[in-house]
Amino acid sequence: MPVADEATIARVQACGLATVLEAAGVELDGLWLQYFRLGGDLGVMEVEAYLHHALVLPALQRDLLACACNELAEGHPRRAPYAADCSPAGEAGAG
Amino acid sequence: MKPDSSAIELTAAFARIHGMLLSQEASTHAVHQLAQVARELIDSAAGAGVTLLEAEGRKMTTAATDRLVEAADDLQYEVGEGPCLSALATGAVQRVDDTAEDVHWPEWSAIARTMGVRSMLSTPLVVRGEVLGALKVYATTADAFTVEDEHMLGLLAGAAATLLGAGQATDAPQRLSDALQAALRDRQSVDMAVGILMERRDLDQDRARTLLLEQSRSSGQPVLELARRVLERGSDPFP
Repeated sequence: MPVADEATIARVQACGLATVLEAAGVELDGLWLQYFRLGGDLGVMEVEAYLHHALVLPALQRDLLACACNELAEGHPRRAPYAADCSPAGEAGAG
Repeated sequence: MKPDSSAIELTAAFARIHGMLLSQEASTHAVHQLAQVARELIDSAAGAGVTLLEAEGRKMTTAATDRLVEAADDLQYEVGEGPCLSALATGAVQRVDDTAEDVHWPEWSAIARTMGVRSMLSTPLVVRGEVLGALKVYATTADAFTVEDEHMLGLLAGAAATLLGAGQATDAPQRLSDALQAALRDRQSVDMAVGILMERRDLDQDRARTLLLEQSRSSGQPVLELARRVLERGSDPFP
């Protein structure tokens, strides 16, 4: 079974994140500030580049963004995906 | 991402400003608070300062935690060179590890050294998409600031610019300092909880942060709430 590479997983996560941000009305600024609170290490421009698929972020930073988004979009039916959600079943989540 | 590889991007990484104008009073209070926070946040900083040029009318708002910062800043304008001027001009972090050996701003460094400034870190502050100020820290010893300090100062400048931009004009002064302090406290709570998990479970930092995220997902508790439980209880709220 083919294993998805990091860039593909990142793309899927970024797509999912962008979808939820738009649907829940969460702005980039608000996302970044929440991500900052949770311990995120990257600046707004990196986050924006990631959302536009111009940059692949490490799995932990992607998951922190997903978490920040989901906390801000609480109650919204859709959730931004984590790296573990995008890996084939049975594979350990990226650390 | 390695801190030192993204210093320029980080200092340019500011959220878009939502068209807020700070009154002179609000601006003065806000930058004063920011300078205080910067000095507290960067361990080796003896003092900190902020310079903010306002787009409308080009007034300058400055704040400093002490006179030495003010003097070092005034000196830059007098001699026409210095790390903060370069930060303003280039939009990039500027660092002086030792004014006794600096070659980038020789005239400024020579005088700054006699004033007692040995190390300096200056980060551009971007408001409304333009570099309109600088956030700086200095130390009285050489090589006082690390790559991590540079990274943290850049993040602080980013958070401040976000909050400056997002604040409402009417209650802006207190809002910036409160919001900034709160965001930093939250981040520090998470950092401390991560440290405890690393110790308790013999994990590296990334793995401990991931564990916190996984537990948040499975328990449905927000990360900050979990972090506080880790800190408060002293016992492990994790299964």
